Amino acid sequence: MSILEVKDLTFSYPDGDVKRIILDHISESFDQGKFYAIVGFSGCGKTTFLSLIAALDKPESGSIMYQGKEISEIGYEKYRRNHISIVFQNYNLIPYMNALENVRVAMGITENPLGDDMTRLALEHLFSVGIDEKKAKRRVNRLSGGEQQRVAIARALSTNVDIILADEPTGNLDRKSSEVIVDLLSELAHQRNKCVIVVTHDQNVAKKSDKIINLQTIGMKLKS
Amino acid sequence: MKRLERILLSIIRRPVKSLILILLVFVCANVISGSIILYNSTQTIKNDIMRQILPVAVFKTLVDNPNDLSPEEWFELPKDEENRVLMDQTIKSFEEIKQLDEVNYGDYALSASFWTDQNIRLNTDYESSLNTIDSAYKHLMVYGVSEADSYYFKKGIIHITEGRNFTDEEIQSGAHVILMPSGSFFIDEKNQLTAIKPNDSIKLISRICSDRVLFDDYFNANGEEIKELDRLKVYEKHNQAVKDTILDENTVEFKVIGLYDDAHFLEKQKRGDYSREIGFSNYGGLVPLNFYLDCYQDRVKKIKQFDELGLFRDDSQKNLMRFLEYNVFMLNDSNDIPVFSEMIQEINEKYQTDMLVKLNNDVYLKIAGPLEGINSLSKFVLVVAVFVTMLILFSVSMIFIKERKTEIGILLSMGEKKGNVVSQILLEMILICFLAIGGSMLTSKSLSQKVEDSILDHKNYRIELSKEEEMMVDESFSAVELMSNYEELLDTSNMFTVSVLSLILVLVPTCVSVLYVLGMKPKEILM
Repeated sequence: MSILEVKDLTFSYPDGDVKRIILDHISESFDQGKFYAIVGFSGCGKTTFLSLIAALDKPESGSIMYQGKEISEIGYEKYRRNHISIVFQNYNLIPYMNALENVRVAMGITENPLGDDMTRLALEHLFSVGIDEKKAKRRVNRLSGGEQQRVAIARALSTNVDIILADEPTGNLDRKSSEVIVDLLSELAHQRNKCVIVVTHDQNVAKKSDKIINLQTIGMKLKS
Repeated sequence: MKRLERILLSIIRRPVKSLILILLVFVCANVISGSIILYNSTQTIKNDIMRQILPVAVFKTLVDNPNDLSPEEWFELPKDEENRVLMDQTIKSFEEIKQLDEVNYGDYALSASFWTDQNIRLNTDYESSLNTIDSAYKHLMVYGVSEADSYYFKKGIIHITEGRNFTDEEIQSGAHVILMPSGSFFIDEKNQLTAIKPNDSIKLISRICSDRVLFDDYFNANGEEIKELDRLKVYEKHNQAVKDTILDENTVEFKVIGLYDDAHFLEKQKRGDYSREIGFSNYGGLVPLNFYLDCYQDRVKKIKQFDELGLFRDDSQKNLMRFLEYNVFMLNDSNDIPVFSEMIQEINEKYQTDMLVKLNNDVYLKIAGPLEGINSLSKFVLVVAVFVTMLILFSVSMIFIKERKTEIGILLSMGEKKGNVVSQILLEMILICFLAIGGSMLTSKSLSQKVEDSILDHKNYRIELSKEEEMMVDESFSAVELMSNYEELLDTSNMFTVSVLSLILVLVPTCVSVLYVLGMKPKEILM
């Protein structure tokens, strides 16, 4: 059974007197241990799609099911807390905290069992993405973009969720850093059995994915 | 990471913003708690004053004893016949006022100097009293009182030390009985003193003389004041000279029924202060008013007859002027004042007495005036401070929350409950408030003290009440005590309650601004 299944997902924005349909009856399923790349031209609804499966927005119609259960039934907050993690293009770390504290904040919110020594675990997650102890105790705004994105990935990993969603994770990074991040995400899927869904413009990211979902082919409709 | 750690990190890692907030709350809390302390203290003292001010009315009349008049004012006084008619009308007004339902008790007294058959001296310790009319030999100041339990007895200013007070019957019938101040003496020609006691007799003489006899000088050829014994001779010489001018003489023997003391006067006398601020303007004998009035009516008639016969060689001897020593009317209740004022207007018009009524409201304003100023100011500051504090704190909280929008979005995107985010911000604010208000607890007292000091120089705070105003306050009233109570209140006002109030005032705008978090959507913030 797929860990995440999307059925007939529809979403639209009001645009003056018209209703701009962004997603029109989209169905897709996602499995654990796989790396998905969602691509398409700007405005085709990639980020909207990601926000819907991240439970940051509610679909107009259709269903999103986590392990066969509607996420609305699980509860949007609880679903975000215990089943998914999001990596953002601009990292979205709490600026006045250091890397370790950022990871520990996430670990404090999830209800998933994580173990007793949170600081040690958080450090392990940071080491696994290439952040050493010295950098872990540095304020995040003193880290480079690539390092901040690694911290964001460590934070996503730390909550022990099944699904990791990433919105243009390499959008603000140079080529070398991008490669590192893509490798990390791929590794999460293939070695840690996570379901990694990445929204991207970057062909290199798409190339490394197990499946490319092109929202462009679905297109965009205008409805009066 | 526990929420408390998150809260502490948020405060410690953003020191500038935290300090701005602490400072802001500290200043606002100081202003608020300072004005609450001032308002509370002044309000309590005001209530104290209200309690001490009696529901009393005192009239200022055209026949009041003109104690402190300038020569110009003296000449403007209603003279002789005009004074007599006015006094007559005033007494009728007073008798009618006493009968009003709103009046619980009324008393008034007239004063005049009588001749006596013996030398009488009132205060042995008071050397210079020889120069004053109250202890002039063979003269006695007499007060006609209209109530057995006359006002100064009722108020406890004077009290019987020996013998007894008047009975109602004695007052009604104008009986020939007299109360003398304790420490009064008869003096013989050799300056020997004999204490006046109950059951002694004093003859009061009402004389009408044809001419004025001037006293010899009190100073000898060297310009020195003459000795007391010599003064007796001066008086004796004068009395002999007066005898030759007597047109009529009416002698009435009075029985001394009791002696009285003026507690305030005696206390001051011990300190060498002989001024009489409270009580009768001059110490003297007290007699029933009706004797006094009968005596006066007789005198008026006789003076008229003698005048028609052209027997007066000096016009000043035709003097009919009499003065009211005091008047006081206690009401049943302060709430009766408006009705009472209306009735007084009618009585005033009926008898054309042109009396000015002084009610306890006037005294309240005089005593509580400076405090009223602080009270109003603190109330105004409090209202403005509450409004401004709320506005400032609401704006600052909104700015800080908007600035933390990303952080809040991150927490919400991770599934944190909105309630937890709201409570985190509130707890942060409470912690900051505790620090700031804790500091303000230490400083607001001094601040309010300084504000009070700058408005009211309480060290030199003196409330000078006139004789009429003294009648309107409780005997226990003391301006000095009032201010020390005030000082004490500033020190002991419930700082904890004031601080809790400040905390609530600070938290209300924060709570309102935190509601903004409930409408936040992480997608709109982060994506």
